[in-house]
Amino acid sequence: MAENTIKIPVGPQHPFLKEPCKFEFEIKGEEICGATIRMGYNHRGMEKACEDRNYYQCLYLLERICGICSHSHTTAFVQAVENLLELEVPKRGLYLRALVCELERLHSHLLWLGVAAHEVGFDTLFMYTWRDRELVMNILEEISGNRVNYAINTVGGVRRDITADQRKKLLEISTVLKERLAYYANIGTNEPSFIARIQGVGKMSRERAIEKCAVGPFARASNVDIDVRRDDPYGIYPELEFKVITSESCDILGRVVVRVLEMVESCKMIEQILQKMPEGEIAVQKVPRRVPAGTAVSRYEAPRGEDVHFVRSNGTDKPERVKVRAPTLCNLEAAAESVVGSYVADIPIAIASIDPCFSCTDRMTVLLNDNRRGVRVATWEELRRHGVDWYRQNKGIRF
Amino acid sequence: MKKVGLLLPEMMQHLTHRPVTRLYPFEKVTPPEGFRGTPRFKPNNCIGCKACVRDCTAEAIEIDVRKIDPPPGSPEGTKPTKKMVCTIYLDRCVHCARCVEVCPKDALYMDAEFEVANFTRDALKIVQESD
Repeated sequence: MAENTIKIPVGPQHPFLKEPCKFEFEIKGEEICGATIRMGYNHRGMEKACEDRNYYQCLYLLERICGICSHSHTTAFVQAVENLLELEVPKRGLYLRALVCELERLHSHLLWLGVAAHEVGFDTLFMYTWRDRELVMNILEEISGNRVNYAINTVGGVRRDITADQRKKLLEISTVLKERLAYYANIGTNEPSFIARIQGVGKMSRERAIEKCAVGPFARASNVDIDVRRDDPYGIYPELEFKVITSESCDILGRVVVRVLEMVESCKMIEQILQKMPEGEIAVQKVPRRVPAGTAVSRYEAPRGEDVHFVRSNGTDKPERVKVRAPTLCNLEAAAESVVGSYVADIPIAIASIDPCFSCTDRMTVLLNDNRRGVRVATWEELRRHGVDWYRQNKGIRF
Repeated sequence: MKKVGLLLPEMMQHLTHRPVTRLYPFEKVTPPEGFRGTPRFKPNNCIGCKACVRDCTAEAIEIDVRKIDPPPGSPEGTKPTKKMVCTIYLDRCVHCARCVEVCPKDALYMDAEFEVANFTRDALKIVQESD
């Protein structure tokens, strides 16, 4: 620890955190000179639970990894399983998957924009964005039957088709949202109080973002031109025309601009999907329950960045291993570094700028004996002996 | 170009609008058609194949197939009948509707009810028997 600095612990439970995670900020006066992260407070054992369930059960379990990007996790998993089964999914099924994916990106980014506005004390924008998000949530509920966990995917396609009425509504929503997004882009880049709080805050240079393996809108805002939809296309993305939005400003303002413009691209993609969607089946009719032995990796561009699922099958109807790498894991280290140089008051927005989701990320907890900090793992017997000795020495009690 | 009061026109518009939020639970919300509410059994349709039990991710369904011997005095050769006791634990259910999808005899369906919260877990255990 450098001279004249103090360490302030934040978390695991803290008002600015929506989910548990521990940060330690080293500060000198008001300025932050260092930050460390400790995760593992939200481990739910989902990967292990998958090994005890068949592929269909896993699908609906993995959907619950995250409440915001639930469709991302199921699609990534289903793509891996379809790869192992060598299934050819009907075109209409893939189009419907992409449709829900883009709607999910819209609602996730609108949610983030609201949260970011809230973190900088701009609650008016927060209310407006969440009002517009309801448009997307309502149509998702109509299409899939639920607002959050859509459960639209199944192995070999999707479970529900859209009606002519829903198609009409989707086009209407897309038009309304494009208008609203133009307004938000105007506010995001011109409103002085908002800009004063986000411009030049949470700086992350292009080189450091690449070194720290940042992904998604966070990396794109640091001018790293990556997008799985374009670089390693899956589903029907090769047939769609879209721009990968990047920004050169490398700060939170850039992240706002990238996300708002990405939403505009999503609206355009939804219109393209509805225009190009072919008629026909939406899912493979007969899907074998047993999956041949093998391994598959699936990459997917979730709203927060690249989501990777690894599935190893052993010829039964249950996977042998499922591994999930959520985008937040890649971005967290970079986010902690981006705080350095900012003020204490900028911590909430700087951390929120990556759109963190700790329950997505916490996949395993490993406790190590850390002798340097006097932390070690004790067995039950050792704890008992320690307790007996302590009471004998300090209180004179003999057990 | 920084401009002060960008939000003002939008805010002025809202002065005359009614609120976007609803006064739930005083003002009820009707879910759209096809909403995945609460799973319900039609025990008389059930054949006891347990496809729903096998695919339920939350292990929220139990089906007990009971054999009922013919009453005394029945003609010889009368086969014993089957009785299905279907149980759904709504506290565990994740409302994915996979059970409805796999049922070959339409013995399960989703209704639009979403206000199933209760003070006890027992009240969320729904047991239905076939005739």
